[in-house]
Amino acid sequence: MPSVPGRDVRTTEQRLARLSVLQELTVAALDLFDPESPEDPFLERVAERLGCLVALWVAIEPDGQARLVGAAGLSEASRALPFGAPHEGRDPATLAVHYPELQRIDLLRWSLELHQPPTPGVVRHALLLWFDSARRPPEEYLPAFERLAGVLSRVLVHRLLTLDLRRSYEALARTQLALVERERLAAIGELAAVVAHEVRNPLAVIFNCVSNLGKGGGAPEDTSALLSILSEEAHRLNQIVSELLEFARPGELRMAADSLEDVVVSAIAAVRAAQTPVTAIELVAPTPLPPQMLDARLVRRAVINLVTNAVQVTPEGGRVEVRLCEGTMGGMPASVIEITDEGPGIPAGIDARVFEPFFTTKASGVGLGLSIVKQVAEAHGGDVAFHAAEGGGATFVIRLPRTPA
Amino acid sequence: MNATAMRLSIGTSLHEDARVAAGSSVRTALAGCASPALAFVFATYDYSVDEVVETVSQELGTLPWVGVVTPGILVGSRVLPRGVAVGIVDCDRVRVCIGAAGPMSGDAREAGRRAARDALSGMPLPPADRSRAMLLFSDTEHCDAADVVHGALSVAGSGIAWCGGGTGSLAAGQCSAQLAFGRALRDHVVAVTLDCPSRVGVGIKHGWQPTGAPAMVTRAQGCVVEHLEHRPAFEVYRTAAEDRGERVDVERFADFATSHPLGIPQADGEYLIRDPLAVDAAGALRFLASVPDGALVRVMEGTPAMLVDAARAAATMAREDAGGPIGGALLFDCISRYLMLGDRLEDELAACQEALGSDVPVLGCLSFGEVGAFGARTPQFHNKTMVVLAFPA
Repeated sequence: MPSVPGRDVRTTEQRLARLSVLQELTVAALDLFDPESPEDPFLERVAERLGCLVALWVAIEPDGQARLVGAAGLSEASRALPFGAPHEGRDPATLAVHYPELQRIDLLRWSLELHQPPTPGVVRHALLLWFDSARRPPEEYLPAFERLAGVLSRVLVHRLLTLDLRRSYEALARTQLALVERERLAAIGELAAVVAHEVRNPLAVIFNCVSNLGKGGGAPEDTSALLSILSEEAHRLNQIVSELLEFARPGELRMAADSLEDVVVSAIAAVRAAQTPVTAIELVAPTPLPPQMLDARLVRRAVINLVTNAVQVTPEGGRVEVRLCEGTMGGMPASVIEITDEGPGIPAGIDARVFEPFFTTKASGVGLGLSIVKQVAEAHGGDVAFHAAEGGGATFVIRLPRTPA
Repeated sequence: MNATAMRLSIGTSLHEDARVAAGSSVRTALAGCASPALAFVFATYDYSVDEVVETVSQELGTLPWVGVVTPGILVGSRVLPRGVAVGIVDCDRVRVCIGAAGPMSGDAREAGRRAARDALSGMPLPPADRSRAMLLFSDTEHCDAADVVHGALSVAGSGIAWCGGGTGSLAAGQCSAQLAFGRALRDHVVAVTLDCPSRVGVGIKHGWQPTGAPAMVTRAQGCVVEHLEHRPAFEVYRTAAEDRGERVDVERFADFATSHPLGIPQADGEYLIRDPLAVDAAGALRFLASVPDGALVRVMEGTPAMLVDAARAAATMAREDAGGPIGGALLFDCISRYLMLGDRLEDELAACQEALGSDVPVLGCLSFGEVGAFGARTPQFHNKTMVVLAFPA
C-alpha cells in the first residue's frame, strides 16, 4: 500500500505524543505517586494525559476486601459511597459500578492490573481507567496503550516497592527509637535502684550514729568511734556520687604526651595505699614503651578500677599481675595493659554484661567501675576485653592505639 | 414564550456610564424572559465595577447572577472592547447554585474545592434525563488556575460538563474581578452548578499544531519552567524559533510567544496549551498555568485560519454534544487569540455563530485561560483555546 505523506506525519506525531505521555507519566509515577493519598496528583495526571473520565487506584487486601485508595475524576459524593465488598478474584471494576459518574455515559473500562507476583498475604493493586466508549481509540492505538500499561505497571510496582522500603525504614527507625527509649528508662530504673541501695546503707549508719550522738552521755572514745564511722560513711557516699558524676560527665579528653608506664605505676601505688589486707601487685613491663598521647588522669582512673577489682577478687595471699607490653590494634601499633587476678573468674552467664553500667556482682558498689574503664578506652580509640586467665582467675586487657607523641 | 425550553436572552450596552450601561443591559435581557434562572454579567475594564455590580444587583433583584470583568465581550460575531453585557438563562426547569472561595493565593486547590462544594450544596445529583454543568470563573493573577480546576474536580467529579474561563489583566490599571453574590471579588474563584432539563454540550479546540523537536521539562516550579533539556528554558525556546528561521530575543519574546505557545501532549494526539507570558533574567519562562516536570513539550504554531477553523470545530463539537436544538451558547475565547488575530477574531466568532446556528444567541468573554475537557474526559485548565458551552433549547 503506497505511503501517504500526510497520514505518515500524523501517525508519527501521534506516536510521538504517546511516547511523550509515557515519559511524563513515568516521571510523575516516580515523583508523585502516593498510594496513601486520596487525591493523588499522579492519578490526576494519568486521567488528564490518557484522556479518561475516571481513574481509580484499588488495593485488594489479602482477605479479598477491595479498598479504594485514590481517585481522580470521582466526585466527593461518590468517594463517600461504600467500596470494598469481598473481592475473591472478581473484577474490582464491578465494585465501582454504583458510582453515578460511571453510569451516565457508555464507558469503556480499561483495567491496568499491576504485574505483581501473586504472593499470598500481599496486597495487590489495580489502576482502573474509564473512557468514553464513543471516543474509543482506533485499533492501532490500543497496542500502544497496552505497552504504556506495561511500562506504567513496572514503574508503579517499583514505586510501591520503594514506598514499602521507605515505610519499613521508618518503622525500623521508630522501633529503634522506642528501644533506645526503653533501654534509657530501664537504665534510669536500674540506676535509681542501685543508687537507692548504695545510698540507703550509709545513710542508715549515719542516722544511727547521729541518733546515738544526740542521746549524749557516752564515753569520749564511743563518741570518737561514732564520729569516725560518720566520716567513713560520708566518704563512701561521696565516692558513690563521684563515680556517678564521672560516668555521666566524663569531661573533655585532655591528651598529652606521657609515659603509660608512669601512669600505671601511679595507679598501682594508689591501689596499694588504699588496700587492706595487702595483696601483692606486680608490674611486669618487659619492654620500655615510648611516650604516647593519652589523658593520664582518665587512664590512671581506668587502671585503678581494674586493679582494685582484681585485688578485691584475689584471695588473701594471692597475687595480681599488671603487664605492660606492645601489641596491635587494627594493624596499627598499640600499648596493651593486662591485669590478671587469681579470683574465681567470671561466670559464663554474666560475661556479656560486665561492662554494662550499674551491673555488679558485689554486695556493695554502684557497678560503674568497668563501664568507666570501657568509656576511657573507647575515648582513646582503644578497647577493653577480658578472658579467662590460665590456671583460673581472669585477665582484663586494655588496648590503647599508639599515637606518636 | 415556552419557558420549559432553555434560552439565553442577551442585553448589551456600550454606554460610557457604568450604571446606565449595566441597567440597560439587564433590562434588555430581562425583557425577553419568562422564567429567568441565572444571569451572566460581563463588563469591560473601563467601567467602575462597583457601580456595575450595584446596578445589576438592583435590577436583577433576587435572581442569582455571576460574571467577570474582562478585556472584551463577545456577542454573536462581534467583539466589544468596551461595554456591559448580560445574558439570562431563561427556563423554569433549570436549577442553579453558586459558590465562591478565596483568596486563592494561599491554596488554590482548596479554594476550588470550597467553591465547588458551595455550588453543589443542596443540589442532589440530577436524574439521568437531566444534565449538569459546572462553570468556573477563576482569578489567574494570584495562583495556578490548574490547581483550582483540580480542587473543584475532586469535589464535583468529571461526569458533568465543565467549562469556564480565567480573569486577568493585560496592563497596569486594568483591574480584573470575579462577580458573585452582588459583589466584585478579587483573588477568588466563582463556581456555578447548572442543572438543565436536557444535555448541555461542550466543545473545545485550539488549532495549534506542534513544530520542531520535543523538549523535556527538566526543572519547573508551578507556572515557571526554569530548564528545558537541562538548559535555561528560554535558550531552548529561542533555538526552536531559530530552527523555524525566526530570531527571538527578550525584547521580541512577547510577539513571538503570542503565536508560539508550548503544547503538552495527550495520549490521543491532542495538545494541552501553555501560554508563555514572560522570560526572566535567568532565562526561565513564566506561563499562565503550570507545566509539569518531566513533560515532553513541543513548541506550537498556528495561523489565523487554523485558529478560526478550530473555533468553528469547537462550536460544532458543542452543538453535536448537546445532541439537539440549542437555546444559546457561552464562549470563553482566550485573550491571546485576540492579540494574535486582531480584527480577525470576528471571523472566529462568525465561524462559531455559523456552526451553532445563525439564530442561536451567543455571549462570551475574552478569558485568561479556559476550563474544559476534550470530550467526555477529565477537565483541565487550557490556554489559548476556545471553549463553547451550548445550552439545550
